[in-house]
Amino acid sequence: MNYKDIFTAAFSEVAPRKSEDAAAREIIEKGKAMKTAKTSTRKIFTSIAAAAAVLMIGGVTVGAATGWSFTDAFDKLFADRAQDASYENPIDYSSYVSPIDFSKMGKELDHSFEGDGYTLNVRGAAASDKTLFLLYDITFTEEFLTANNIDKEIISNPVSFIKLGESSSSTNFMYMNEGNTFSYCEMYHCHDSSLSGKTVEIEFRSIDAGNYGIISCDHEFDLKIDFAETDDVHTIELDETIQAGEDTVTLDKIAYDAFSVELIFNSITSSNHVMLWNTFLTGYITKTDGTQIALLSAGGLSDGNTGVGSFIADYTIPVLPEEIASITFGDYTIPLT
Amino acid sequence: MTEQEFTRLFGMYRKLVYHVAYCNIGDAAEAEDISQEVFLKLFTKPPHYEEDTQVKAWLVSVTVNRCRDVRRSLHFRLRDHTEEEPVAPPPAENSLLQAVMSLSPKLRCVMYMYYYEGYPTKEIADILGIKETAVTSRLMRGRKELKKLIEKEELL
Repeated sequence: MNYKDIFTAAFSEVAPRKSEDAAAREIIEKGKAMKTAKTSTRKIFTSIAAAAAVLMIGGVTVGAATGWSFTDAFDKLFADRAQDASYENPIDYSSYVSPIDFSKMGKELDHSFEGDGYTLNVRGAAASDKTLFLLYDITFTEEFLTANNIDKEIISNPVSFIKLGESSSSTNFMYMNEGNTFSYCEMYHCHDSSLSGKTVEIEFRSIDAGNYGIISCDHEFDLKIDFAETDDVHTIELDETIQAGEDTVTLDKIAYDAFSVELIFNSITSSNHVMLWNTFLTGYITKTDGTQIALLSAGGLSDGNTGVGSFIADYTIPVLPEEIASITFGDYTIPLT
Repeated sequence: MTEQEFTRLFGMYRKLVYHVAYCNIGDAAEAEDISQEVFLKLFTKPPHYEEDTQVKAWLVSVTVNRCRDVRRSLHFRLRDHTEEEPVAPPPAENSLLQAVMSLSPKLRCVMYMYYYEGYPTKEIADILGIKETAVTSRLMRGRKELKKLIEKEELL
């Protein structure tokens, strides 16, 4: 069996639908529009809040009876993220140590759910005012994996959601695997509001085992986490009108903490915001020492009635807010110092 | 980057980027969107390069990264998991493609890069950020699964 021939035959008909000329022209026009928008006048930025503080989490907590270590888990999680960060970035993150003491901003949790062939353990949560990290493990029985012909190497991301109302978004990823236990982090982002006073509702649906949703979980429960008031978010008011394709928007403010940054808009003139979100899709933060950390876009939300929207992105690794010199979205660089 | 240079590189690597995205995501429309984003980045923020092969490696790397972001995104997961529809409806007449796309994304991606693009295993490992042994393991498992599928369906 000649696999080269098989792949050549298989992909012979796989091609983009748009003509090459039209597709190239479209990209060039978009690129030019972005470059034009970059030259728009920038106004004075005013820092409103700069005091860093830790968020306290209360509610259902237990001690470390299982041997699972909260701090170790976060160390592993962000070492994994640092490896991701080095993907496009020439910085060597091999000796990366997170600047954040996660033990001061979160607690261990102990919620267990028995499924047919697996156990789901919610291990711990940590949060800044706008970003929540929920850590959980799923352990499969060997019998279950064998019976369902599941290859451990291709189990990847679960489908789970954290809900705190409509104005939110979340992403997740696997950060560790030992034997039949897979460790995941669900990151939740709070758009233009605070986690303070909220209760987290979590829904687990399935695990991606190569073919989507092959392992069904279907657990839905409320997690009682009382988020205390915090002022660790740095907010800077902006008053800048930019052009993103046919959209004219006013940047209202930028809010950032140690984990993510959010741009808040108003007066969005178009209901189709694809171009707008594309404008901010790629970005990075520049630290005061000149190093750059890539942003992972977590998505945008907008309200067609009010013209208000926001776009949020994670840093690939945590950065102390006071060490951030500027944040760049697309071609827009916003100085913070 | 000049429009002329961009158009030249776009012509050379458009299909490659689309294929890598399609292999990763398994959805034609999403692959087209990702291709556009990747080339928009090339046009607006080109990497430093002296040879075309450097651009090629950069494009593949950025595409793989972008696919990973998309697969993590709520939008993608909501669409694909809640509607429970097949994510990769390849042309019905191309049964070999259907067989390839029925492999897991991780397996078919590595196989595509090795067999179609001719990348050595070390380079695939560098691009995907995994160990070379993982690449060879995926190639081996992919061959085994694909062989079984092709024999079962009597495709050759």
